[in-house]
Amino acid sequence: MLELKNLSKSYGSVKAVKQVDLTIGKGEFFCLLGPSGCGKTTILRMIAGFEKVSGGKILLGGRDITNDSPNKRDVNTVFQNYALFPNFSVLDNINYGLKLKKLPKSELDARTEEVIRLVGLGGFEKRMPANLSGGQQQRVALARALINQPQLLLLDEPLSALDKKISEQTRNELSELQKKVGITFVFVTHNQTEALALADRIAVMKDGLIEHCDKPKEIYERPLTHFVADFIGSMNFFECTVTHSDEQISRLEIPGMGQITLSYNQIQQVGAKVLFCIRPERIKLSLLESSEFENCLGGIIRQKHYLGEITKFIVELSDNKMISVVCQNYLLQLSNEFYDIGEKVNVIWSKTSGELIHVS
Amino acid sequence: MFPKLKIHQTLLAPPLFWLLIFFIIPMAIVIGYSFGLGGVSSGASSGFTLQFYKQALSGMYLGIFLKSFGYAVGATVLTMAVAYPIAYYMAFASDRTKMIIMFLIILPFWTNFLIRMYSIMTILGDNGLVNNVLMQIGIIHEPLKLINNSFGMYVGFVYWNLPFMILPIFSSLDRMDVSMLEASLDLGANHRQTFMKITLPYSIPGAVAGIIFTFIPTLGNFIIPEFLGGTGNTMIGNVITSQYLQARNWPFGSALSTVLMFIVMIFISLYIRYFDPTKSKNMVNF
Repeated sequence: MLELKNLSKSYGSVKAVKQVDLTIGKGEFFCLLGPSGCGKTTILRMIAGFEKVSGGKILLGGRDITNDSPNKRDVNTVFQNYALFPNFSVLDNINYGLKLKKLPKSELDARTEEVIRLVGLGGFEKRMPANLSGGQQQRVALARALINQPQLLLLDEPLSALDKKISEQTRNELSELQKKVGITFVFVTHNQTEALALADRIAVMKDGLIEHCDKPKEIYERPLTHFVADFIGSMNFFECTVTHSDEQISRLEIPGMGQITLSYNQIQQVGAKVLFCIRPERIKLSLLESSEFENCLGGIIRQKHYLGEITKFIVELSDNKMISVVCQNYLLQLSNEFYDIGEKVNVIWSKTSGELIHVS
Repeated sequence: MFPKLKIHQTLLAPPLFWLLIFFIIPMAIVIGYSFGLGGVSSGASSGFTLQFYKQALSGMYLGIFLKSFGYAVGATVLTMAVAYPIAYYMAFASDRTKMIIMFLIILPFWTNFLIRMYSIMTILGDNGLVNNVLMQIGIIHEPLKLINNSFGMYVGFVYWNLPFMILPIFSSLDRMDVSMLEASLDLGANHRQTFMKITLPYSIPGAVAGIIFTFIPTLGNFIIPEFLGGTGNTMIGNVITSQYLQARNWPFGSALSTVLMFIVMIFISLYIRYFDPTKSKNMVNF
């Protein structure tokens, strides 16, 4: 539906977007995720037509729109600061686009009413934007864009200006809304939780390039690069060397700590330097030795942070290596396990857990 | 709102005193004179009378009032036509360009007003720069009359008023969020529609302030007609000056002044009524 071919953007000598290729399907909720300055907003602005393309093409529904002006594109945008027109009422903001199209009044009214109902703004039509809460302004921005029934809706960090509760609520509504209207959404955010919760597919960006583009589950569980593994959630990394690899398992040597085993169906080159990464919640603490299905390293608890539903431990392994371990408080209480700072523990994880990243 | 402190009253005392001595009392004197209450010092007989107002609103002087009004309207329209594009360009230019234009706008204030008037006369005069250049390149064969007529006067007014029109329009456009313009384009409006529906309404409070700053001083101006207007273009400010300085008919000059003040007050009241600058929104709803 939307195709970016070799898309690049430079500001003078600075390359903000470097030859990005991307295809987004019809009806997809797609998310561009990355830290600030990674080029995600630039891509969005190029799709909307606010930034001139330095190289490459943008195709929408098969048609080349690379050089079309923003008002000629079947694309609408929800801006980060909403960019509502302060001198227009909610109603006039919402039907701004339709009025320009000079639709018959009956159709204009019907569509306006429908979209107001869709975003739940009934009763607010006469209000001015300045007299609305952040969440309500966000709905107006959404309604104003959706009323044009574009092929593609672009959302530029629409939730970042809202406080946490409202943002979560709006997130759920946004997801439902997208399913209801069936319009393709391209959502830009630096917030990984939003991206994981909303998107059908995520493209993680860094320095103008897409590092990894896949479903949220794949991104989280099988990150392709060190950056993606580190950016999404939290991750423990071990630099290690492959000592054995076959179709079932790989054995890795962590210098100064010993051998670990990983059930992994990709054969690794023996002697290769790789990065073993494992999520804190996949590791458990124990005073006992591991079973044969598990890996085990010894360490001392250095920090303990109680965070409500979980407790986060920082454990020092040999070689001053610090890793984080996250335990569900409920499970700790259930099994009567209480660990304290200074205690010697084993950190244990299943041989099926963890992922390998090749170090270039 | 911030709490009112005792010290506010103390700090307000000097300016209040200043206003009393140099604004309220003189104004009271002028109004008093205009009703013939000035005694011998005013240059006319004492005793309450409305005759000076009758005279001020009689045919000839009413004509001059109307003419001044016409000049002020014309000067305001011309100033707006020149100022708006500059303010618009400035508001959407880079910070560096903004600084440079701002500097250029303020630069003339560093030079004495009379010198600036004389330089306009030298530039536009019969042997001035403009006529010389045009004759040199053969476009004209005898000098154009560029001063001592209403053209010269309008040039002077536009020149004088330009900064006071540009700056308020600029400041309202400059506050505008560019993403609003992008949103308008995004929703299908072209550049012209975006200007008419979004930019123009947004700049109206600034434009109205600019109109006030231009219209009112122009209405009472007597220096520019004197320098650039020639003999035929007398404005009410000139009449008032001559009544005070040459005819020494202070009561009549005062009556004219009071009428002028009244007209100005009407405009200021309208401004405050519809574009109250103290209201936080600074936005007009149509």
